[in-house]
Amino acid sequence: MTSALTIYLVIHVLAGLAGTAGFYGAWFNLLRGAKNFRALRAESMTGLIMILVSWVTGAVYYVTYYGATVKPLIKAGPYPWAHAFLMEWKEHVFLFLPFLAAVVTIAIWRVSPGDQLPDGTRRWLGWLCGLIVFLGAAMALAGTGISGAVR
Amino acid sequence: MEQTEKKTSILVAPIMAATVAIMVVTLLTVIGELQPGWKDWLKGAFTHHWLGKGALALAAFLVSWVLLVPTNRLSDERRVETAWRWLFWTGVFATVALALLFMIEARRS
Repeated sequence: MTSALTIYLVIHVLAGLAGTAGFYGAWFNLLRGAKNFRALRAESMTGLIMILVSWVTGAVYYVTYYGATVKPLIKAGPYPWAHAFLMEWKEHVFLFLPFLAAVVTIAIWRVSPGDQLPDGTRRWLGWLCGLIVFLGAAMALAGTGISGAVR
Repeated sequence: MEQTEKKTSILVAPIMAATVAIMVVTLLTVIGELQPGWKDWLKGAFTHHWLGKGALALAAFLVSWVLLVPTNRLSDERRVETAWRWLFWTGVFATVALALLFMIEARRS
């Protein structure tokens, strides 16, 4: 693997974790009534940007390197399900995240700092942030399994 | 308060557009696994099937948003909550559906 691809992969992982952390912060901020609205805006926007960075860097690694080089190794090894299940699930569910993150962030940023989020919207934003965090964490675990299967 | 309600109403279009995008990804993925020729077409058109799914999902998101903007005039907080509910449960069911799909495919291969 070239050093450029290594950098892309590292950024993909770190940005993914940072994006998940951003929405984790937003999630608990919402659960506490979204009283710290400034922080909520920062958390959601950071989460969105990091998820998009993770998306792009992951795409470069996946499209240019994983399919031709890593996938055959996994499929020929003792854990072929690491690709057939973990990677396939991860790469497709990963496509949900930018849309979920974007809509949550748009909703939060559309509300003026002096106003309040309607209660129903606040509750659903909480659920959606929780879903984003769950998917981010699940993907991080899947990525760990996939990396392990290569060895 | 009125301005907040008005702004909240505007959100229905992107929420439903995101729901459509997730449905499109799920549908394209299921079709791709059941009909390999479809996956090949995506690869031919977009150089990689995954890029194709992403591009089509993004297109579906943007087109849906534009087409759904007129519905914002009919929106109130109740409709916004319905839109959120649809988005959340679509995300959950799509995640589970893909997990089941690839579990079955992994056992088959």
